[in-house]
Amino acid sequence: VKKILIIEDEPAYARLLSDKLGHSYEMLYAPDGKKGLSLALQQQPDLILLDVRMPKMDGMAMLKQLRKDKRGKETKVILLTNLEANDKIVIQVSKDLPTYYFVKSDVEFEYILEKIQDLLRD
Amino acid sequence: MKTTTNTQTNNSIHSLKDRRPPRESLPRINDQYQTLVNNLSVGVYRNTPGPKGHFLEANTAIVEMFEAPSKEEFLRHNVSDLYANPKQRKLIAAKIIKRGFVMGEQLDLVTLKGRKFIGAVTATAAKDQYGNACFDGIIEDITEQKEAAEVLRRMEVQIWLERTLDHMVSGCQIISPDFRYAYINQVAAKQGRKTKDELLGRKMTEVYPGIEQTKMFSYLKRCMKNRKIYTMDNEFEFPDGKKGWFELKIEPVPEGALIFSTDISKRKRYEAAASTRNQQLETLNKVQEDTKQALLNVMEDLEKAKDKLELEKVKDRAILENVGEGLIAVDASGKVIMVNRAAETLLGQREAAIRGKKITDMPMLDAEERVIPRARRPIHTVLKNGKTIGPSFAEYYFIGQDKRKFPLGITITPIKLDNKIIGAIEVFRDVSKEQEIDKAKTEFVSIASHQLRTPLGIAKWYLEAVEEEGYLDRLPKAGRDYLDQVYKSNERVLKVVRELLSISRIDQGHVKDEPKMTDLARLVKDIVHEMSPVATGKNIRLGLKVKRARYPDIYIDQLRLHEVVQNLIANALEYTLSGGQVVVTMHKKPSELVISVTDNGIGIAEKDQARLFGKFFRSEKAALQNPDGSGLGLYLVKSYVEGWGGKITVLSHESKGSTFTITLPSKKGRQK
Repeated sequence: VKKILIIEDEPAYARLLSDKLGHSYEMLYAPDGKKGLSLALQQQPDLILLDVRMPKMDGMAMLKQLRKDKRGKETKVILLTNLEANDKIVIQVSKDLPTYYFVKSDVEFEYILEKIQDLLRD
Repeated sequence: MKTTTNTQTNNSIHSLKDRRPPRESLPRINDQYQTLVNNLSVGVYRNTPGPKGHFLEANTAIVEMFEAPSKEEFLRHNVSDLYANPKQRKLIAAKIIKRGFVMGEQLDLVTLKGRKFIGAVTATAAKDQYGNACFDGIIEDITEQKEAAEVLRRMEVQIWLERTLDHMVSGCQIISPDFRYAYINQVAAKQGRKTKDELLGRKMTEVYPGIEQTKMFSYLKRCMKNRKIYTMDNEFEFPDGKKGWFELKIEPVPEGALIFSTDISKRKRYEAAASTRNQQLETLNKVQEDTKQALLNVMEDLEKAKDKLELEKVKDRAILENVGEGLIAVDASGKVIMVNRAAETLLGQREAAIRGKKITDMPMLDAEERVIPRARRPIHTVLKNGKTIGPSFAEYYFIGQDKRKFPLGITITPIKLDNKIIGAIEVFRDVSKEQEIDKAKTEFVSIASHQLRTPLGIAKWYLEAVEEEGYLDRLPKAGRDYLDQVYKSNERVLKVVRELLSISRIDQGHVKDEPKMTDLARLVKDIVHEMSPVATGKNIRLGLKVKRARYPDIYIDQLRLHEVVQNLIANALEYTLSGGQVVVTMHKKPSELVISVTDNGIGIAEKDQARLFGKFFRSEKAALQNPDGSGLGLYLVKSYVEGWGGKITVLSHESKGSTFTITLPSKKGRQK
């Protein structure tokens, strides 16, 4: 079973994703970047759903650390945030190669699920 | 050719009845005369009168004159052969026969070697020893004499010309292509503080170091190159430090360039004095008119008129003094001629300290708070172009009391008199407070909308999940409708938040344009296609008129342009009633692409049109038609379009409809 790690400070988003994806995947959850990073390195998930603005360690810092470690170099990452694609922080994060990027309040929930399934199929 | 002529000559000689060999006439001439004639420097000859004529006798001088190898050779030629125009011989012969003589007749002749010269001929009709008619004559080569006369004449002209030129009012000089003084008259030399002898033949750059930097010199170069006439006023500074204004006309001549120069220093001084005076009058508003009035009244009541004028002056001054905004008036040269009380307070300086100084002595800073160089100060532009600048908000800063920099709301207006710029007025105020409020507002909007987005986003996803999971099916219809309303409301709030975010980003200067080469026709077509379900739902005909299938690609941020066009179409559909129509058109002008959206909807009241593109503006009618609009859409559209260097305009009549037109520069490459 493939593993998905959700790093998101807003539990409501995390819960909905877990509920929906929990049937087909093993779900991991971290409420901030710091916990998310250690979980990612320890568990080596197949996909990380990453929020950008978070307490303790933000998505940008977390992703940078992750890519530095050989265990996290290849992990697929989808950015899920309410910051827009042309936000300075997002542009910085994008350099560390996430696979997809979505604005949570603009995209339909169902569409994100499809993308996740697509990514984990191969 | 020559041979043929000779043969003919021989033939004609033999055919003549009265023809005698020339030798036979010689014995009749005295030996003594013979020697004398042969030693004369003028040519002496005898010939026959026919249209061609042949020589019976010739002395040494004439043989030499016509460059014949020998006398025998010379005698073999027809007389007409020696004329540059052989037909002339016939005319001269006829003249001698008719009058019996010609005297000093100037003829264009040609030697046997083909050299042309001018001969003066004196000849008489005579009879030879056999009683046959003949011409005796003398001939002189006067070419040199003629030339000498011409030279003399020219010299006379030149002397006259020079004398005239020297006494002209204007300076006059001819500059050779290597920029030497080929000619200069006294006036020009004096204008240049030199004598003619100090200048003639010398290089301009040697005599006047630094002359290469003058406007005159650059036009002189252009004149030599383009062979065109240039006129200009130019100020020169002479080695002695004095300055002078000259009106110059530079025109091309074969020898180089001719410069006419008139000293207009005095005129310039008068003009400057006049403009300062005029400006004072203009600035003090109507005082000039009152002066005229006063002059008229002088005859009636001198004292009364004077009092009135004084009173008016005081009144005008008082008004300007007490205007709440800072006011500085300058003359055409940028010298301060008036500072009002508000300006004194803002700048922390007394009028007396500033008046008479250049306004540029007071430093002005740009938005990054760097000192603006004098030459780039906006006042310069106003004095030069005569166009008003402003009102601008916080683009410029002045330094006030306690060296505090403060942002300016400023308008700079030229003062014109008879279409001449005689000065300018800067009206300004401190906009620090407004700037702070604006900044705080923008930041607030940014934070608030991010905070709002998260809960709204959660609500959106959960509502979508409710539907996805089929939970709706278990609800009664009313329940489903209620949730549908919640979803729609949520979407609406999200839209407003999105727009607020976009605006705060524009206001904070955070917008990042991501331009790509874009096929505009395709983009517009796609948007129209996207919007047509909305149009159909409202029973509105949505049409597209594109003149060409394809337009040159333009370099633009596609997402934003999409937003702009969609916004305009959505607006048109929103404010058009059922059964109406919306037409999108597109065409190309030489350097721009034009997209228009025309509807026959409710239209916009004239009083609202100017405010239409403001933040949060909603017209009364629009609010009635669509209570949910945010009033941000057009503000966004305008911000984006202007950011791309384009324009947006609106044409509208109430109850008839509106046309929104955006114009985008078609040249690629507006990049930040």
